[in-house]
Amino acid sequence: MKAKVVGIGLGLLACAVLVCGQGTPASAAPSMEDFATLNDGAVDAHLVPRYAAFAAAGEGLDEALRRDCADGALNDPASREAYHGMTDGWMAVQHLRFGPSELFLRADRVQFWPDKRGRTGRHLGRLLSEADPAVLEPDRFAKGSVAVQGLPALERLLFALPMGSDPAFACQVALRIGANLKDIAGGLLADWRDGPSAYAAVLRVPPGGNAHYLDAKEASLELVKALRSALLLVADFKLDRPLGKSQKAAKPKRAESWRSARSLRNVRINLAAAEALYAGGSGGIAALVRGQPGGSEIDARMVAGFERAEEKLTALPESLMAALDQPDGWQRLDALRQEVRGLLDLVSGPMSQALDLPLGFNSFDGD
Amino acid sequence: MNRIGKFTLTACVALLPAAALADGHANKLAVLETYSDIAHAGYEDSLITARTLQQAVDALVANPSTQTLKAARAAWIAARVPYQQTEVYRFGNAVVDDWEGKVNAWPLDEGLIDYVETASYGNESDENPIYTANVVANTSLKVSGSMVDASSITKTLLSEVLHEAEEVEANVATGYHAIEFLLWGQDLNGTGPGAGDRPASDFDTANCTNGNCDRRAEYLKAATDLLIDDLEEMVALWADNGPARKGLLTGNANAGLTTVLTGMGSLSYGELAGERIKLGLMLHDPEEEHDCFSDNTHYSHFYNQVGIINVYLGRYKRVDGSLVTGPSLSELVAATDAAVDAEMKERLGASRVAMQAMVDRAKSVEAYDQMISEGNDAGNAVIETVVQSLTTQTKSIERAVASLGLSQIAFEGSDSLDNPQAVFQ
Repeated sequence: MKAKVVGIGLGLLACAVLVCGQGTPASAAPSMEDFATLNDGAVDAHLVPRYAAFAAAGEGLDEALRRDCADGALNDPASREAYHGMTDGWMAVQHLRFGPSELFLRADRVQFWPDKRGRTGRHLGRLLSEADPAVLEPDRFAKGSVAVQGLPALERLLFALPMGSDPAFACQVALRIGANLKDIAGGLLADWRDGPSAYAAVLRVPPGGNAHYLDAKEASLELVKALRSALLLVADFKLDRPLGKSQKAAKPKRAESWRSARSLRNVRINLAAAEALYAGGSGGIAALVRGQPGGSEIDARMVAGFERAEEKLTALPESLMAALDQPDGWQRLDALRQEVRGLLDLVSGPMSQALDLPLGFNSFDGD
Repeated sequence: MNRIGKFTLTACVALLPAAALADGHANKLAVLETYSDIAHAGYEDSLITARTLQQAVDALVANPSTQTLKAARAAWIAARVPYQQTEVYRFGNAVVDDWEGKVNAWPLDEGLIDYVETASYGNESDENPIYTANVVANTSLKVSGSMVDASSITKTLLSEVLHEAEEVEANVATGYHAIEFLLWGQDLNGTGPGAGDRPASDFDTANCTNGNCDRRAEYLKAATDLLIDDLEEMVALWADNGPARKGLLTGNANAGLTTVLTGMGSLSYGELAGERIKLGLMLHDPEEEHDCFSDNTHYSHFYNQVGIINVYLGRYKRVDGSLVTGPSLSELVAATDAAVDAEMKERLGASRVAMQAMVDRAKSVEAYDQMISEGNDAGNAVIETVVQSLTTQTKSIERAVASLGLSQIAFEGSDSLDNPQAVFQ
């Protein structure tokens, strides 16, 4: 119920606007060519390779589950490994909430989370207890409740199968989830990469713009928003919600993927993806920031912030619950949270101002 | 930081031709004045219609009958019309957002308040220890580890003890939706036709159904009285010398405009398109419906969109039919970039049309919770169009932010959330 939206740094920016007229900061902003270079680099080095890896993981998951269920039960450790591979792949693209991932609610279908009202448990419980094979008909399943379609539901089947479930039917559900995830991941890659209307081409905005973006600058804004989303997901959902304001207020079951004991492995992949998106190549976000007045200092703080966050993570186990059980565990997680929060504030404030990219709204603004 | 900001601003002002600055500043202030006038009128209309609801509730309690219950329900639905139009003020205005949870918190674990059908609702929740505390039936209950005396159901008990108890947001003891639950009861029809169907005899101490009719009536009266208190507070905040209005009109004008656009964008996208609409659609779950007891959701969403349009066009039609108008944000955007203004008007209109189609379907074919049900392609498509149009209009709101050269619109966790005044210094 709390506010999620406020303006910051208004005084300084208002000053810039007053001096130089509408929308132009006091410094020389990056040129349209700079933004186009940034977009090109991100498509080639960040977006398409990550979606390709995710699609490959989808193939692997589908295969592993098929082999496992040949005997009518989920009992092959390779299924869990394949689940981990698929989750690794997802965590590297989880922050990309635009274009193909918004189409057909794909992001929500892959992972409906956070699930503040326990819908996954309730919907999956009903599915398993009713054991109606008609629900698993591929098209019907793919259009049904997102809460039973994706990684959180599969995680429960593999790591915490509800008591009293029929193992054979649970296998059928897992198979259907695996096939559905494979289709979604394949569709994401195809929509990014293939054909004349591929989203890769959309993001490389031609002069004069296209149906999605007025110009290359608006497409770069999308990428900086994705960087913000990665940090926001980690700070607000993956750390704030389970940690709470004090050790006493910690709610470990709010952690992501806690049943498969990999909450912090997720965070590590998220931060690595964010860092890679920021660093980019010769014309990436970092290079653009460094080219702005005061940009070198912002960049140095970004690089140092990522480094410190990584150091803190390396010293922690993959499971957030296990981390909380350690002496000073909460305090060390809290310190990690501060680092990510610091990066988030840098991106939202000084960095986006330096690039003259007001970040606008995001889908996490609601309650 | 704020001190430096203020100093720099003063230094900048000196560099500009005085006339140009004064002119632009005056325009922006006039827009913010219209915005504040509409806020005041909207909250005043919410208060007026809530007082009508209060009278209807008193009549129901004094003489419970099908007629008096029907009248109270009609008064609740009428009260939602102006209130939903004010929700565009919530995001961005910290004073509103801090207050909003008392009045319109949602969704709720209604088992805290009264009896529920546990077959569908369940008996317990991992998140909420007082999921089925049922205050109406229990004169004493355990909250956060200590026993609470609930022998008398007072405004204080609801607002200070039970509301958001155990730090669980779903413990909603006050506001429109608590009242809605008491007037309608649970909607047990799933994604089939029909809303909640509480009998009037639930308030009839002479022929009481479901027990504790005196306490249920006491709860309903206390919650309604509390709603009046809360709305009075918000009307005062936007009155001539009210702090909400003063904060906007005496602060940095660009900060004020950022507040206006923040409210429009966050309501459109994260809240309405996302949390309130898309979530229900992708779960196909009738409980993911904003007005889930009364089946009034279509109108609640529709009037949210009307509120967004009011703020942009600087024009609000009051419940008595009179108009509040003045210099608008639309004019300000048009002066900077006519194409952005035209695009925005077109997209705001398209969302209104999509919302109207949803309202028409709710009135003639099926209720909102049926539209989101699994396998209902036609109903799903109507809701999907609403989500898409809201997402598209958000993009225009971002373009308006950029064209006015406003600061970025940021989010939770900044200093300004905990210290709203900092934004305006």
